[in-house]
Amino acid sequence: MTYSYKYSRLKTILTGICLAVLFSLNTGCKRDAVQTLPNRSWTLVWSDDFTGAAGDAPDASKWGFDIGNGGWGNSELQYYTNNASNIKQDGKGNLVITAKAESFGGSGFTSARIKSKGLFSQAYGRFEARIKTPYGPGIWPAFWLLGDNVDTDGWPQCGEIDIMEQRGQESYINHGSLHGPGYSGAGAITKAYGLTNGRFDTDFHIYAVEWGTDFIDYYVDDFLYQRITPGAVPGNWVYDHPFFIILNVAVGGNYVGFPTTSTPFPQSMYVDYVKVYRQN
Amino acid sequence: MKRNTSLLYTLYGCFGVLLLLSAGCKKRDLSDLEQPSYPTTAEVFIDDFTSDLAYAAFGGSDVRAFQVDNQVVYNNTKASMRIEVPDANSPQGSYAGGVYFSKTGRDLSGYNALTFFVKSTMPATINVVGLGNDLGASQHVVSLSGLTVNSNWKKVIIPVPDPSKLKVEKGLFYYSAAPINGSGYTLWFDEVKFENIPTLANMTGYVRGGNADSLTKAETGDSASMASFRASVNLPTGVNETVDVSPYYFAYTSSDASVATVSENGMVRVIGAGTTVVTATLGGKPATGSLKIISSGTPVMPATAAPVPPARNASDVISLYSNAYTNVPVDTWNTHWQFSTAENSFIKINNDDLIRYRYLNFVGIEFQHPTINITPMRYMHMDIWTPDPTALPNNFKVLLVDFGANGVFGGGDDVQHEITVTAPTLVSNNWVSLDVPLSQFTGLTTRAHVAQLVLSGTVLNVYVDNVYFYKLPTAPATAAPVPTRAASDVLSIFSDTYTNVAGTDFNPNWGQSTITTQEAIAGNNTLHYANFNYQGTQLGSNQDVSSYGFLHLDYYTTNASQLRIFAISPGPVETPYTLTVPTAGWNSVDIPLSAFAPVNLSSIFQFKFDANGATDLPDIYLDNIYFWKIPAVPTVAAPTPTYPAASVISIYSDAYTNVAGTDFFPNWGQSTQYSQVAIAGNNAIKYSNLNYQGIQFGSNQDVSSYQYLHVDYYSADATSLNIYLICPPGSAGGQAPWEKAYALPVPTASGWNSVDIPLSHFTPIVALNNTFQFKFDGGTGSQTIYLDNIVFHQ
Repeated sequence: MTYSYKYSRLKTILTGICLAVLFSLNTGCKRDAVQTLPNRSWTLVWSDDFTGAAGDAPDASKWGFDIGNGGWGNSELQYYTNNASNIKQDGKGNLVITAKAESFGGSGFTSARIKSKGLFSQAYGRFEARIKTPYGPGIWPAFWLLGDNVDTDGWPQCGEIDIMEQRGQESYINHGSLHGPGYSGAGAITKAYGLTNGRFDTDFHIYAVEWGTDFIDYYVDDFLYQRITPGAVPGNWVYDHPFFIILNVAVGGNYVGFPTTSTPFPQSMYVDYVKVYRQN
Repeated sequence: MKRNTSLLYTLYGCFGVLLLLSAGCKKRDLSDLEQPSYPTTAEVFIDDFTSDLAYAAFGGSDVRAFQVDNQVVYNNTKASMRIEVPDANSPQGSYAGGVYFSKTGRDLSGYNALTFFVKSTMPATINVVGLGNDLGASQHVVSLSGLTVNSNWKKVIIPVPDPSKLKVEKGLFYYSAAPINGSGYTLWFDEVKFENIPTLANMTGYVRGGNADSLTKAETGDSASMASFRASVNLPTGVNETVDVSPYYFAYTSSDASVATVSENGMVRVIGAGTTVVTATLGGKPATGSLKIISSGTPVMPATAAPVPPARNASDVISLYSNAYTNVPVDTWNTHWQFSTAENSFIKINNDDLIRYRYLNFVGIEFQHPTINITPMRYMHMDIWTPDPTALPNNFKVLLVDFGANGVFGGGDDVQHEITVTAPTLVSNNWVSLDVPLSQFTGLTTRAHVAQLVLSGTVLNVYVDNVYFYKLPTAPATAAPVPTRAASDVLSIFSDTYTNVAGTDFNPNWGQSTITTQEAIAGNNTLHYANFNYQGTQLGSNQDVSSYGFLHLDYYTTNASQLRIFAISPGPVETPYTLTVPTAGWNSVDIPLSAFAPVNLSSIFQFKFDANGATDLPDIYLDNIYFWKIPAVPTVAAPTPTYPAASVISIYSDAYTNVAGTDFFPNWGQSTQYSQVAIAGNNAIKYSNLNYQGIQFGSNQDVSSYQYLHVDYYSADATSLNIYLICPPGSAGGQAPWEKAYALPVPTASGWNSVDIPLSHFTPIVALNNTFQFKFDGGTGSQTIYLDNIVFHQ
C-alpha cells in the first residue's frame, strides 16, 4: 500500500519548548516558536501498531528477541527475556516492555529487547515510533537503528542511529545520537532535547529520524532538534545501507549509571506504534 | 511550670516594604465585588522573612532554636534560617520545631511544591518537614518524614498533592528535629519558597495505605478510616518521594451511599445493610487503595442489661467480667486462635458493660498473668443473651482449662472440662443466667491455675456479662434460731439456751482434717467445722435419752455436698442420719431417735458427723444440739373436733353430748390411776401409772353406720400404746376374741396426736353394731397418757 504523509511546511509548535543545553537551533524559550521544516512526502512501507490481544508476544513476523545478559557492551545489568512479564502487547494497542527488579539468570533485573533484524531493514526514509518512556535512576529506554551488516563488519563500522535514548533520572531530556567509525561510544555525535515544562515519561511522544543520503534529521513531536550531515562526522559516513530497528529498556550501564534503591520498579515503556516510510 | 506549652516565641518578618512592593503589582478596583483575593507570594524565606510571615515554636521545643543567620547561606545570598537542635535533655527544650505561617493567608494554588535548600553540621535525619500546619485545623498538611541531611546544601521538594486546595493557606512551612544519638546539631534552611515545578510527575494518592481492603463483617454503626493517607510523586531525578498528606486533599466516593457514607476527612460510617466500595481521588485522579464494606445492617442487641448479680463478700467471688464486682486481670477476651472467626467488642447497654461476640464459632479467653485459683469457689456464673435460634440441636459450650501446678500451657499437667448448654436452659432473646456447680466440671480435677475459658457452640451472636466464679457465704450472717422448749424437756449438748452436758469434748482427735472452732455468729456461740471431712463429739458422760423423742440440730452449710450425723452408743453401735445439704440458711431438724436404731438410747456417749465420702472439705456450722421431749403435762388443749353433732357418737368430748353413764375407771385389776383434768379450760382424761385401762360405755353402741373412731392422745413418756374396741363375747357379727388392738404411735413428740382409725380395722372380730368397751394397754405401770375427744364419726 502506499500512503502519502505530508508535513505542513510550517509547523507551529504550540507546546512550550526550550532548548536543551546544546540545542543549536536556538529557538530559545519563547512560546509559540515557529519552525520551518523541509517539505518531504512519504509512503508507509512497514509498521506495527501492536494491536494484538492483551498478553500477546510481539508479532514474530516482524520482531525477534535478544535474550540474555552480559552487559551488551555497556555493562548493563539486566537479563533480557521473552517472558510476557517483560514484554507483551497490552490489548489496548501498545507494546509494553517492562524492566523488573528480580533475580534471573545471575542478573538482578529483567527486561526485554526486540529487533527487526532479519525480518525488516531499510536504507533511508523516516523511522518513527510513538512511545511513553519509563523513568527512574538507572532506567535506559531506547529506540534505535543498527546497520544490518553488524555481523560481518562489526560495530561501529556498521553504523548506529539512536532515535530516542533517555536517562530515567532526567526524563525531561531526550537524546538523539549517531555512532560510526571514529565517533562511537562516548565520542558519538549526539544532541539532547529537553522539556522545561514537563517530562517525556508522563505521556506519549513521537520520536523520529528522517534519513537521506546526506542528512539525518532528528525529531521529537515533529520538532526538528538536530540535523547531522556527512561533513559533521569526524569519520566515515556509513549510512548508505539498510538498518534494522531495536526497542529495549536497559537497566544500569555506562550510559545511565546504576539504579538506586529509590528507583521505582517495575518500569514500563509503552510503544503505540513503529512506522517506517520511504520518501516519495 | 518552667515553660508554657504552646506558642512561646514569635518572630515577625520586618520587611513590610516587600509587601508594599508586591501589593503594588496588582491594581485593585474598589468597586470589584468579587471575593477577596489573597496574595500569591511564593517566597517564604529567601533572605529574610516575607512580610506576612510569623514563626511559632512547638510546645516543649527549644523556643530559641531558630535564628536568622547571615554567615552560613546558600549561594551567597544574604541570610538563611538557622536551627540549633538542642542536646537531649536540654533544659531549654528537648527538640527544635516550629511553624512558619502567614498571618493573612496566601493563594498558593499556582504552585505544585514547596522547595528549600538545607544543610547541617553533621549527617542527620530530620524527623519531619512539611507545609499546611496552620496552627489550627491544619487541613492541608503535607509531611516529609525522615529527611536525611548532611553538610552539603541539598534541595528538597515537598509536593503539594492538589494545589487547588491552597486558596487561603497560612501553613507555609514547618519542621521538627530531634537530637541525633542525644547530640544537638545545627541546621540551615534557605531559599524556602513555593514553586511550580513542571518536572514533578505521576502524583499518585494512596488511601488505606494503598491496599484494597475489605470489611466483610460490618454493621450499622461501625466506622472506619480511609487512613493511611499518602501521596507519591516522581521527582525530577526520577525517584519517587512519598509524603503523608491530610485526608482533606482527597475526594471520597461510596458506591452505595445507603450502606456507608464518607466524610471529607476520610471517616467512613456504616449506615445500612449492603455492599459498598469506598474509593478516593486526588486532584481528580483515582487514588490507589479502597475499602469494601459488606454490612449486615443493624445488629440485634439485648434491650436490657444483664441481671445485676447479688452483693457478695470479696472472698466469695472471683470475677472476670462484671460491673458488680472487682475483676481480676484478663489477658484477652479474644485470643484470635487459628480458625476462630470470633470478633468481640465491648458495649454498654443501659450503662452496663458487656461483651459482644459475633461469628462465634469458638473464642479463647485467657487470664494467664496470673492464673486464678478457683479451688475455694463452688459455682461458675455467666449471663448470656443470643438473638439466634436456640432449639435443639443448637448449643452453647463453656470450656475451662487449668494449666496445672506448673502454671503453663501444655506442661503435661493441664486439665479441662467442657459443659454444654442447650434448650430449654438456652433461650433466644432473653438473658440466660448460668450457675453451674464447678463439681459438674468433672474433668477439671485441679482448679488452682485456671487460665483459659473457651466459649463455642452454634449460636454465633452472643452477648456475655457477669462472668465470675463464686461460693455462697460459708459463714451464716445470722444466729441459729433460739430454741423455745422448756429446759425441763431438754437434754442439751451444745446450746447457749440450755445448760449443756458438762465435760463434752467437741474436738476429740480422731485423725480428722476438720478444724473445729467455736465462733460467735451474731452474738451466738456456734460450732464451726472448717475443712470438714469428719468430726466426732465425745460427751462428758454417757446419756440415757430413752425418754426423749428427738435429737434437735440447727445446721448451716453452703458448700457441703454430703453431710451425715451419727449417734453412737458403746460397742460402738452407730447409725447415720443424712442431713440435706447445702442449706439456703439455717436448717433446723428434729430427728426421731428411732431413726438411730439399733443404737442403745439409754447410753449415748458420742456423736459423729461425716461427709459420706465427699472430698470437698466444706464448712459446717452447728448449733442447738439437744435431745428433747414434749412436756409431761399438756399445756394446750386438744384440738376441738369440727364434725357435725348429728354425725357423731361421742364417748368423751367437751364438744358433744356424750353417751351417758360411761365408766372411765372400771376396776379391771389395773394399777393405773385415773383423773379428769382441765387443760387450758378443756377437760381431758389422765391415766397415770398406766399398765392397762378399760372404759365401759354407759350403753352398748351400734357404730356400724360410722366410719371412724377419733381419738386425741398425748404422752411424753409412753413407749408403747394400743387402743382396743370391744364387743360382748358372742355378739352376732363378731368373733373371738371379740376385741382388736390398734397401735397408737408414742411418745407424741409434737404434742397432741389426733388419729382417725377406720372402723373397718376392727372388723370382723368386733361386731360394730354392738360395741361396749375400750381398752388401752402397752404401759409398764409408770407412764402417763392424756385422752380427749373420743368419738365415732361418719
